[in-house]
Amino acid sequence: MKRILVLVITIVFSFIALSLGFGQEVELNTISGPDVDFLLKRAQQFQDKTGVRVNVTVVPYGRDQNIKLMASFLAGGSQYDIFVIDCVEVPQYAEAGWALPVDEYVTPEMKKDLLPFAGDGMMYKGHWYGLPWASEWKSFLYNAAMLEKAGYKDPPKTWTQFVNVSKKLQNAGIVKYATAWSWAGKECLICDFAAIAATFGGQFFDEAQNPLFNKGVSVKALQWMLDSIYKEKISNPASIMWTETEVNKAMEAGDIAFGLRWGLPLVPLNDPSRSKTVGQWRIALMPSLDGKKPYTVSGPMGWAISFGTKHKKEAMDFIFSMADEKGAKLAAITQGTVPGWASLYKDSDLIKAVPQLDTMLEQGKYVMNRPKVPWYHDFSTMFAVEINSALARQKTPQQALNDAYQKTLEIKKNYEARAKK
Amino acid sequence: MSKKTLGYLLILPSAVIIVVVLVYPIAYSGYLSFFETFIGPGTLSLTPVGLKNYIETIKSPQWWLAFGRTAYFVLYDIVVGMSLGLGIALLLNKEFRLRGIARALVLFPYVLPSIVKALMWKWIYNSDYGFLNGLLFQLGLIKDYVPWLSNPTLAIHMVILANIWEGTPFAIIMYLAALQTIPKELYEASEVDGATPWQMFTKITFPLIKPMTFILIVIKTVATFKIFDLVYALTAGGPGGSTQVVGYLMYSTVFDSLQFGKGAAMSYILLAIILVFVFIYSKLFQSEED
Amino acid sequence: MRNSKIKLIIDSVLIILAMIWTLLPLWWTFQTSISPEVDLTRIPPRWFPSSINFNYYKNVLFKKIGTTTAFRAGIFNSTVISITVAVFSVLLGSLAAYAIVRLGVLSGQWVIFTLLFAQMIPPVILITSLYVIASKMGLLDTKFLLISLYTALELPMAIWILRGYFQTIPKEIEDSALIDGCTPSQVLFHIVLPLSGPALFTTGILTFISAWGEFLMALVFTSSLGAKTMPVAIAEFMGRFTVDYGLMCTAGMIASVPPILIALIFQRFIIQGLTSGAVKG
Repeated sequence: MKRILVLVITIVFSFIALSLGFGQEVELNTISGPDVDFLLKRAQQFQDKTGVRVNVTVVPYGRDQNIKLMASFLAGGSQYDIFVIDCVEVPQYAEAGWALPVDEYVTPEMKKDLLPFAGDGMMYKGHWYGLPWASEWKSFLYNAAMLEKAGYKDPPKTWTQFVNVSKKLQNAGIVKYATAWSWAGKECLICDFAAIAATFGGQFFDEAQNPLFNKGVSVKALQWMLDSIYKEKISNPASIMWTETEVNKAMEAGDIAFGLRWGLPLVPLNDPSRSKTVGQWRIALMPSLDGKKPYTVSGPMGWAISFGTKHKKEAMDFIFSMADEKGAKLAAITQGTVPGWASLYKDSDLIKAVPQLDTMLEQGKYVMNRPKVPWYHDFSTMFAVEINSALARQKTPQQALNDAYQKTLEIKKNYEARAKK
Repeated sequence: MSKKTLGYLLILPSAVIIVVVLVYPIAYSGYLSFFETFIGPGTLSLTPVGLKNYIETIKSPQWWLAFGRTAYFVLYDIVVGMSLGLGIALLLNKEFRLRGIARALVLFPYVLPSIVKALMWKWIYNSDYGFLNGLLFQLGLIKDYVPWLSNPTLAIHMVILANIWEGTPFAIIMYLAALQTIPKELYEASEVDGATPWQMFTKITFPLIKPMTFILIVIKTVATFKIFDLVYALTAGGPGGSTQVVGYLMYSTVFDSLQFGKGAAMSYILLAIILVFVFIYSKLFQSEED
Repeated sequence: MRNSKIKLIIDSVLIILAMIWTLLPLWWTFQTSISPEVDLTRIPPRWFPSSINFNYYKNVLFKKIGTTTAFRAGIFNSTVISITVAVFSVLLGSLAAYAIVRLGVLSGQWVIFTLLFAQMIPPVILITSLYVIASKMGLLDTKFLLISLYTALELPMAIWILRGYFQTIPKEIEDSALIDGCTPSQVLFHIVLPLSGPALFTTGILTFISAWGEFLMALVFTSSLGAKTMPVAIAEFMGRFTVDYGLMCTAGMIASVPPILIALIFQRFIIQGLTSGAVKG
C-alpha cells in the first residue's frame, strides 16, 4: 500500500515539475492563424538577437485567435503578450482596456511617414493601440496567361464583362471554375460582401453607425454573388465553405483564373516554393457594376500589446522588430505584407521585389472601411452566418439582410444600454 | 482499520478528483446560467437575469433547429446504424476461419482518434479530388463532381454518414454479446421443426435481443448529443448553419458569441434531458443485472 | 447440399462487404499517405498508388521546420498524458470500485445512476467553468491539467468496469482469507487485484484510447508545444495545409498507429470492456 502511494506521489510531482517548465527566462507568447512560416522565422531571429523566446500558438483559422485572445483577457491577459490586432477589433479592445495604448512609442516622424488609413486603423478616440503592420486591402487579380489563352488581353472592368470572360474560360476548358471566393460563414465573407456591395454603389453603414446594407443595391450585390454560383456557374460552389487560405491555394495551384487577395499578392504568387503559376498573375482594379466604382475592402492590422503582459519592454521590442521600417520591408519582400510606411513605397529594393506596386497604390485610393464600433465582434459573428445562409439558399438575400438589419440594431442597442451603466 | 474506514480512504482520491473536476464546474455553470455575461474592461461582468437565459433558449428557434437536427442524427443512427450493426453482428457470430481478425478489424472505426476520422471524411468528401466523387464518377452514378459539404441538404447527410460509420462498431460488439447469450439449442430445435432462417430471426433472435436494442437506443441517443469533434472539423456548423447540432451550438454560444451564461443554461437543459435517458438506462441495466 | 453452399457464398460476400464498409475510408487515407503528389490531384483518383512515396512520412517524422515539429510534440504529449491517465484511472478506479463493492461505501441505486450519469456528461458543459478556474490557478496549457481532467472523466467508466468485474469474484475467496487473518487491505492488494488482471488491463486500454483521441478539452486548454496534444496538432494541420492532404493523411495514419495496434492485439479486452455496460460508445 505504502509503495503504491509513494509511487503515485512521485509520478504526480514529476509531472507538476515537468509542466512548470524548465528555465525562468523571459518568454513572450503570441497567437496566430495558420500562415505562420514567416512569423516563426522572425521569432527565431528575435530570439537569437535578444535571447527572448517567442512562443507562437497556431489556430486553424486566423480569426479564431480572437476567441482565445478574449478568453485570455478575461483571465487576466497574461497568457498572450503580443498579438496582431485587426482594425475592426481596435474599438472593442480599446474600450475594454485589453490593448495597451502605445501612444508613447509613436514618434512624430513615424506619424508623418504612416499611410493615412494605416494609422487610422490603429487609432480609437485619439489613442494608438498598435503599431501598423499589414496595412492592406483586398486586390483583384487575374491570371493573364489564362486570359490570353482565351483571347483576352485586358482584364474585365464591369461585372458583366467578368461573367462573360469567366464563361469563355470555362467553355474553353482552361479552368473548371473561373473563380473561387472566401465565402465561409466567417469574417472573410463580410469583407467580400462589403467590397462587392461597394462596387454596386451600396453603403455598408452610415456615419451614425446604423446599418444600410439591406437597401436596394446591396441586396442586388448579394444576389449577384448567389447567381455567380448557381445561375452563371462561374464560382466554385465550395466557396461557401472556403476561407482565404483555400482561395490562395487555388490561385497558386492554377485552379482558378480570378481571385481576391490581401497583402502584396504577387509576392507569394511568384514564390516558386508555393506557387505553380509564377509570373502569370496580374493586379487590376476591382470590377464594378458600371465600371466606375472599383472599390475594395480595407483591413489594416497592427501589432498590439496585451494589458496583462508582464514583459512590456520585451513586448515593445518585438513589435518594433516586426513592424518598424526594416521589419516591414523584410515582411513586404518575403511574404507580401503591405507596409504602412509611405517612405517604403519609394524604396528601390521594394519596387524591384514587388511588381505592379503602382496599380496597387491606385486601388488603395478606392477603399471602403468596415464600421469602427465596439460591438463589431458580435455583429460579425451574426452577420457572417446570415449572409452565408443566403448563399446556401436557405434564405433569400433580402430576407437574410433584413434579418441581419434587425439583429444589428439590437446588438447596437444592447451595447449602448450596457455602456451607460 | 475497519472496513468502512479503509473503504472511505480508498474512494477518497477518486472522489476528490471527480468532485473538483466534474461536480464543481457543473455547479458553477449552474450559477452562471442565471446571469448575463458581458465582456467588459478586464473582467467578466455578470448581470443577474433570473430565468431569462433558460426562457430565451426554450423560445429560440436556433435551439430547436439544432435539437431537431440532432434528433435527425439519432434517427439515422438508430434505424440505419443499429440495423447495420445487427447485420454485421449476425455475420460475425457465425463460425468462420478469420473471425478473430474480422472482429478486430471491425473495431477500427471505434478506436481511431475522432480528429483523424474527421480529416479522413473531409478528404473523402473533398469537392475537387475526393474519393466519394471519384467512386461515384467511376461507377457512372454522377457526371460532375459534387461539392458534398457545401450544399446544406447534402452536408448534414454526409456528417450523418460519417457518424454512422463511427458508431457501427459499438452496435456490432453489443449485439454480438447479446447474440452469444442465445442458446444454440433454440435454433437447432426450431430447425428440426422446419423453421426458415427468416422465422428463426423474427421469432427467436429479434425478441431475445430486444433488451440490448433498448440499451443501444438509449446510449446512442445520449452519445449523439455529445457530437462535436466531427462537426467542428468537417463543417464548423455550416454551410449556413445547416449542420449545427446541439453540442456544436453550445460550443459556439460560449466561444464564438462569448455568452457564458446562455451556454450554461443550454448545458443544464441538455443535462436535464440526458438525466431522463440515464434514468431509463439505469432501470434497464438493473433489470439486466437481476 | 446446394442450399448450404449458396448460403456459404452469400455469407462470405456479405462479410467481405462488411469489411469493405469498415476499412475503405481507412484504406483511402492510407493510400493517400503513400501516394506521389501527382496522384492526389488525379480525376478520378487511383485505387492503388502508381508508386510508393515515402516523402510525406519523412516530412512528418523528421523534417526540422516548425510545421511538423508541432505534430511530433503533440504525439509526445499525447503519449505521456494517455499513459499517465490510464495508470491513474486503473489505480484509483480499482481502489474505489473495491470500496463500493466489498466495503459498503455508497449504496446500490445511487452508485449505478451516478456512475452512468458521469459517463454521459457532454464535456462541452464543463469547459467554461473549467477554463475560468484553471486560468485562475495558472494551470492553463499544462499537461498536468489535461491529466487531471482526463482522469476525472475516465474514472466513472473505470470504476464501472472494475465494479462489474469485482462482483464476479467469488466472495468465498476473500472471506476465507479474512478468516485466516488477513486485513481487508491485504485481501485487496494480494488477492483481488492480482485476480483482476484482465479487467485492469481492459480498463487501462479503454482509458488510453479515450485519452489519446480526446479533442475538445485539449483544443480549449492547450496552446503551446509544451502541452498541445496530437488531436490539436492535427486540427492545426487541417487549418494550415488545407490542400495538402498527403501530409494530413500521413499525420492521421501515424496518429492511428497506437489505437490500431491495440485493437489488433487486444481486441478481446476492448470487447469485454464495452460489453460490461460501459456507455462511452
